[in-house]
Amino acid sequence: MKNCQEITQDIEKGHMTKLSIKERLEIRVHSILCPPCRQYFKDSATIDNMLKRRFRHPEQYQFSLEEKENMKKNIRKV
Amino acid sequence: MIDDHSDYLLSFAMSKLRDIDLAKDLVQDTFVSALTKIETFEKRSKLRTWLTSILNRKIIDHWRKAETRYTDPISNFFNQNDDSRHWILEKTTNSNIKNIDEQINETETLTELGDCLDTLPEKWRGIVASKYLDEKESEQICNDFDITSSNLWVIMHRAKLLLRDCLNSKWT
Repeated sequence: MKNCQEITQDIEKGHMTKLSIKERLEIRVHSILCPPCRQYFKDSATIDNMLKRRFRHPEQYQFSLEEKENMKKNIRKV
Repeated sequence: MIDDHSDYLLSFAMSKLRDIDLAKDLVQDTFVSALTKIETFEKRSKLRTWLTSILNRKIIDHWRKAETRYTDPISNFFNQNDDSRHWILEKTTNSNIKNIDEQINETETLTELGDCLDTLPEKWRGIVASKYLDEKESEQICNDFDITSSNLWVIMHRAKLLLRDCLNSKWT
């Protein structure tokens, strides 16, 4: 029997690759019996979703005009 | 070239790094590299895409160097958890991520998530960015960071636990 760490790791694996039927079944059965892993299963999907949204709208940063001028000077030296 | 692309490249770098000075340096290096090998640029690809790929390479090199300079996050992970197989049980008493995500306004949630991302070890943050920003395949991420695929799942797992703790603590 897999322990909680192995099960939750498999859950993560499932976000990155296709799980075997055996692995999916193990997660399913374990989650019925284990509320924390059931919770992890939900949280993992929620955080996945939040991360996707977060990286779709990255924060914007800008160089100051002075920094740009400096960069141009430095590059001209090359 | 600088006027058109530098802000874009800086924003790209900062979604992967948290050190603004480092990000600026890498962007400048990117322009230098681009000029020295401008003949390899193929006209049919977009200049911005080409510059981004050079920058990305530099960021990956930075992470690889940082890896040898500091501690190895993967071995840290295993050491920390050898003696506590049931650590996850203790950590899940009042997780409320779904409510946080649904009830709190989008911008605020994502800002907080950004803060939480900043608390991750640098390499983990890089791995998260490679997955969600570049949407890279697992295999490519493993190559870039020189890890095995099971290392990758362990890191993602551990990163999510840290993010979950961090998000929960912000709203309790």
